[in-house]
Amino acid sequence: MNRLERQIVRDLRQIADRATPSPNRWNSILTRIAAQDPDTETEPEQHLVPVKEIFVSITDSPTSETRNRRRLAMAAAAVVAVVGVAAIAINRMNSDDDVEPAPAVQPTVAPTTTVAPTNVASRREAGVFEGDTLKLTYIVPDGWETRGGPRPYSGVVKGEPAIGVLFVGEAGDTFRTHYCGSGTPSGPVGPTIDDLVSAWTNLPGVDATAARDVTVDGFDAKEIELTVSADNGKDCSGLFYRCSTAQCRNELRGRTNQHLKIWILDVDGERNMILAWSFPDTSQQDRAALDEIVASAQIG
Amino acid sequence: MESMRKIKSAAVRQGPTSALEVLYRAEYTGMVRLAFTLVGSTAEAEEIVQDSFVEISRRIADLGHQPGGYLRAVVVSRCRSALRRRRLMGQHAFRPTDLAPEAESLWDVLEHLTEEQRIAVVLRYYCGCNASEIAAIVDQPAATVRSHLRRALQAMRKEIVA
Repeated sequence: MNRLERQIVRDLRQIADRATPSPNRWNSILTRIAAQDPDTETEPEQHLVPVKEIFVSITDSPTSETRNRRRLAMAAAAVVAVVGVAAIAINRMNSDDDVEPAPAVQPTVAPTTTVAPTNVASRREAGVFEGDTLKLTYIVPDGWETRGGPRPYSGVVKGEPAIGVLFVGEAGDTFRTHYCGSGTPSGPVGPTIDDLVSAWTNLPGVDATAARDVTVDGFDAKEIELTVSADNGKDCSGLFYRCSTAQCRNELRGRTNQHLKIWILDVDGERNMILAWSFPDTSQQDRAALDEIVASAQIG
Repeated sequence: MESMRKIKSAAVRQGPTSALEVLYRAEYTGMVRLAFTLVGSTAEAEEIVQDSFVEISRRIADLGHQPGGYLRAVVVSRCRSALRRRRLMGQHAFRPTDLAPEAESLWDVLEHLTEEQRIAVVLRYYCGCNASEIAAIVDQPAATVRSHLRRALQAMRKEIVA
């Protein structure tokens, strides 16, 4: 081994020593294994994160049967609300040929009538997101790839650059935002919904709408829309993200002109997010699919 | 080798979950460090390694004497997918913090290697694998691996002040 090779060995060890593995992830692995669909084969060449698409029943929680029924009713109603919001956004986006951020929509409150969930013809199977305080299922349209799941994030993406929807929970960790290229997450975002809204809307290089109070599946939520307005990183096209751990896991990287709709839900004190993102050249069909995925989200 | 015997023994006596736990205790930290040298983020490395454990969980009893080797191959494969996805999506790579200047230089060079070259370098100089062993892990001919290593070293020789 020559001098260069010895130096490579030494420096690689130094790099490896910078890793700080969590002391005990065994339980996390067991949880993932338990959630794994026995019929689902993972394909390492195709998925960074294995596909774990299962349908999980309503979690055992302090909620009564009555409340569950109420939630289901509100869930169906919220589907209508979310579809309505998305439809407004789509209409407005479609009316703009430029890349300006979609204008804000009016605050939406879910009606209290019970409506059957959207019946999506392209539905393939249910994806699952699992937070600390909720379990949520959603459709996976044909041709879309699943990501993560069931926790701390889960979702579907399509194409390059990818568009998609992610359901993200804190899962015991603290949200952080991340400035692409800095390599270092920001300090922890404060504990409230408003703190998280502020963290998102104050990211550099983002045009953000004011937060709107909405209801998602019977839970209070804030809805915001962001558009990545400029290149802000040396090697990044647009940027920013959120992370759920100090090591910045599960980043969502922004790209110039990327448009994000974010719903931040307060579920029994836990913050969860739904993120849907697209680009100005995203097709009508894909936009509709995005909305279908979001609208299909059912808690419990 | 002792850890491998424990894993096999656990698989026989207590079932696959116990064997997986023994494998976890023997390999988890090392695999995270290996993944970290490729992807540069502890969180992403942990995600990859945990997913790898999940993937092999159903096969642990059938992996014979070298579940660690199989695990490493899965981890490397997933790291390659992550690197490839980053490239295809134009994403910025993570960068480890608090590196010594020499290690910073090496990281910069690694960032500009192809995924295959980078993996070959890490497996050769961090894991101590020879070309044949690397070839088995990445499922490529040994000659191709040697070519990756040779070209990587050429690039590194230019960039790194030895």
